[in-house]
Order: sequence, then C-alpha cells, then structure tokens
Amino acid sequence: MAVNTVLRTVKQAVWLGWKVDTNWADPLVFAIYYMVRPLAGLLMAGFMFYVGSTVVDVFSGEHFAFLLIGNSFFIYIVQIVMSMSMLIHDDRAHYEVLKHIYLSPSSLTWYILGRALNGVVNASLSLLLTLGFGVLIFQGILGLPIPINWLGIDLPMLALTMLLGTLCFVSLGYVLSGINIMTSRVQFMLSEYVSSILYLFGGVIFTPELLPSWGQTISNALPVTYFLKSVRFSILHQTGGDFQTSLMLLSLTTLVTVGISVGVFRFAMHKARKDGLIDKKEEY
Amino acid sequence: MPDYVETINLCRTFGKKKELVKALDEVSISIKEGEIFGLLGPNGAGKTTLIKILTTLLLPTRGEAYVADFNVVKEADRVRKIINLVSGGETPGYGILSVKENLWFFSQLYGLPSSVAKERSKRLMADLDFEQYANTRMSKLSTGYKQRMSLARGLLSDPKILFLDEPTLGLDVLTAKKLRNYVIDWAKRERKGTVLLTTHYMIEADEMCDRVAIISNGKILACDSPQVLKEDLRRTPIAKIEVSSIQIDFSFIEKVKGIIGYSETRNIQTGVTHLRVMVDDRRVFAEIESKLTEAKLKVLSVNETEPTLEDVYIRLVGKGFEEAEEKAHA
Repeated sequence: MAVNTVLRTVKQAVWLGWKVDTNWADPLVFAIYYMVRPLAGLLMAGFMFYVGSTVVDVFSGEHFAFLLIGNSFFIYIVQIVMSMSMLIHDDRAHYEVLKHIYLSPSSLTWYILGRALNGVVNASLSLLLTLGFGVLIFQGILGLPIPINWLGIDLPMLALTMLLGTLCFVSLGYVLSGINIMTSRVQFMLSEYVSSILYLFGGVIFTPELLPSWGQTISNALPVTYFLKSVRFSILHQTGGDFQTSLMLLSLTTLVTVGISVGVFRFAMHKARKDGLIDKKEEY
Repeated sequence: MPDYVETINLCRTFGKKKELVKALDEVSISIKEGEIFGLLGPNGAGKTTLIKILTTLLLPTRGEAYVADFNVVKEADRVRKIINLVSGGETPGYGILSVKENLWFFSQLYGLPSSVAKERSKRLMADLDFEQYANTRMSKLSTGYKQRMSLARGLLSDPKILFLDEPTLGLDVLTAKKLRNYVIDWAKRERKGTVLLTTHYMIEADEMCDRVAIISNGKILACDSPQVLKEDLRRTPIAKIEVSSIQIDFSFIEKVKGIIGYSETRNIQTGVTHLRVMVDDRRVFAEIESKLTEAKLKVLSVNETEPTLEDVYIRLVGKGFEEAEEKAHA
C-alpha cells in the first residue's frame, strides 16, 4: 500500500477518533469526564495507602511514589488497550460502518492504528493530568513527602520506555481488536479481564517479588512489568535490578507482543471473512 | 459485451454438519457490463449471501466468483477498488458526525482528492435532495434521508459496480421511487455503471432491472428480462380473489385440481385477504370460489389479472414470497 494512502487513512482515523470521542458533549463536560475516572482510580489507591500508613503510623515516601507512578502509568496502558478493544464493537454493532471501512481500498489495520494513535494522545493527556493532580493533592495539599525530583528525570530513557511501551500496548490492543472481530460477546469483559491480570501481575502497586513463585513467572512474562520498572528507573531512579536489563526485556516482550498481534489479527480477519463476521449484527 | 460479474457453481453453507444450511446452491450467473441485474426472492433466499461473497465480505464454501475478471477470493483488494455497497435499513455512517463529515470521511478512505470529494459530496447531496441536512448530525436524520445518505456514500467513490442490497427497505413510496430513478439514471446515463440489486419488491425489479434472476432456497430458478419472464405466463390464467377473512388457513385450496400455485396477503386493517391464484384452466376459478364458500367465507371479488414477477415465482415454487418466508422460518 502506498505511503500516502497509509498516511491519509491514519490521519482520517485520528480525526474520526477525536470527533467520536469528543462530539457527544460540550468541552467542559468532556474534560471532566476524561479526568474523573483515572483520577478517581489514583486517589482510591493513594488514600488506601495513606490511611493504612496512618493506622500503623509509618509512611514510606518511596513506596508511595512507587504506587503513584505505577497507578498513573497503568491508566495510560488501560486507556490505549480499552479504546482499541471497544473500537471493533462500536464500529460493527453500534455505528454499523465496519464493513464499509473494510470494503474501502484503505487498510483496516492502518485505520485501527490511526484510531489507536488517537487513543495514545488521549491516554497521554490523561496520564499527565492524573499525575499532576495526584502530586498536587497528595504532596501539595496533604503534605506527604513524595521523593520525586522532577528536574532529575532521565528524559531520554523515559522517552525510549514510553515509545517501546506504547508500541507494546497498541499491539496488545490490536490483539483484542482481532479477538473482538471473531466474537461479539466479550468486548466489554475482555479488556477488563486483561487489565485486571496486568494490574495484579504487572507490578503496578507492589513489586512482583511479593508474588508467589508462579505469580512471579507470570509477571516475568508480561511487558507491563518491564515497562513500569523502566518508568520507575527513569523517574525515581529506584534500584532493584538494572535499567538496561529492564529495557532489553521490555524490547523483547514488545517484539513478541507485536508478532503475536499480527498473527492473531490475520487469523481473525480470515475467520471473519470465512464465517461472515465483518458485518455481524449482535442480538441482545 | 463481456461478463462483468460472474459466478460459477457458487455454494455457501452455514452451520455445522447436523444443522447445515445451504444458503447458496450451485449458483451460476453472469452480469454484463452496464447492466442492472436483479436478484429477486423472498427473505432468506440467499440474495444477501451472494452479495456478501461478491463484495468480498464472505468466502464461498465452493465454486468461483469474479468481479471485473478479479477473483473475489484471491484478488479481494482489487475488487474493493472498483465496487461499493449500499444496504437498506442500516446506519449509513457515524451518527455522531454530520452528514458532510461522514461523506468526507468515506471519500478519504477511497482516496479522493479534496476538491473532488467536496464537489462530488455537494452534487450528490443536491441530486438526492438532502443538501439542507449537510451540517445535521447523521443520527438526527429520518429513515428516508439516512438511506439517501447511504446511497450518496455508495456513489461517492464512483464505483464501476454498485451492489444494492434491498436499498429501499422500509422507505415510503416516494423516497423509494426517487432512489430507484436516481440509480437508473446513474447506471444508464451518467456513469454507465453496472448494478447488482437484491430485492423482494416486484415493482422494484420490474422497474429497474434489465434482467432478473429469481432465487429461492439458494438456487437460481429462472433468469431473464422481466418482460420475457412474464411473457411465459401470458397464457396462464391468474386471478385476484378477495376474501373477507384474515383468520383462516387457506392451504385447503391447494387441493383443488388444476391449481398451479397461490399467494396470500392479509390486510389486518380491512380484514380482507387477497389471494393470487394461478391455475391451468379458467374453469378452476369457479371451483376455488365454491370451496371458499363451502368454508363459509365471503368471496368479495374474483378478477383475472396480468402476470407479475411474483407470479413467475409462484409458477416456479408453487407459493408466494410470504408463504415461502413463513415456511423458511418454520
């Protein structure tokens, strides 16, 4: 496919994603909606930690920073994966346009990736706002000592980590898109299940070393584990392994995820055409 | 003229071994370039399945299909560049976008240059009389205007072959007529494009199509121009019988000797059933009338009539569309 065709498809998909995401409400309502959910998730975990610390009368700033970073960046992951997972359901069952996109000379894959790019932009905004408000509330208002030196962040390493992580999570979303093409029953549950597993085993609120050995094995196979480790290295300079190994494992698991996603999606499209699923109407 | 769309012994089954349903059974058709070709049959006959295969949405179980010499299985990408599909009774785009935005989005998926896309969208909206809704959210449009937009979306890419799947489903008479005329105009004068239309409306097939294939249970039963198909029935007596009851099962008239087939349409509002009966001899009408009277039914009128495409179907299957659909559902 010609480069200009790809670029045009991606551009239209980003534009469409933005319109579909924002057109339903006025800008203020949209901004509040977009902020409330991730922020509520962060505040919930933060306050649980805070209340627990008050009960035992010990507050560890380092642990709190671990939780704050883990939760904020996990929201980034969930938003990308969820938006891609729901895309197929929305376009096929709700808007009934998936078949027309599929029948156009543009590639469905590039369309999905364009929509994913829109999801990445939204997730990035959400991440920045959640992190900012989290620090403002816990450090600025509640006065908790959070050991983050904002000027000491290793920006090149953080950028590299985000790049690899984003590629990985978009691929994961692509896998879920493929699965959702094959089935029309699990679109809501699937992304919930996947994010729950990643939340539990990915080292979001506690280090994977606290898991039983079988749990650690799962954790070691997940790219999220290395993504969050690398993010924490870049921002908090927390030790517990070395940065290069973490980045290398993130690259490796990302590569595997990309490979799996391409395979799953190809299989899904073949099955969809074989079984007539591209324009399948759902019956509730 | 060369064959522009061709299927060779095309088969498609659904379901597993024990509940295997043959949606298409050895279907072989050929459509010439510039022709408006109709597939006429009741719901569940296999029309949409055939369109889905030809538009690359579905793979056949067996057989071959070509669109402009491209194999729909192996060269799907090339097929998609020259076709478009308009289906009736479905959402034509993103309800959250305006009509203009929707048309713009699809024009870009087809790679139209901006100026061409804008000019063509504007012209289609004007031609189909919905220019005034250009900035209205698609979700706010009525069914008729949604279908106009759907047709505009389908013609936006200027396809060589347009597939229309029940394009006037659920539309009022005037809108349906307008869309039909526009398609005829597009195919015959403006674009000289090829059209494959599926419908279960006789008038639509009669009015629009150069040739019609009658399909039932996945099989093509007859294929010719509407005139030729009807001409074959000129010597067969056909009558419309009005009976003042909608409650009764009329299947008992099948037992009358000399009856070829019949269809029934029940009008709940008037309480009248319209029977369309085809017989091998005019004298059979009197016998049917007496059977109806014996069943304590009031016969309001018996009038001989000219054959329609539904009569062609009745001649081939023995039943009308509605009875065939009921049988399929049962």
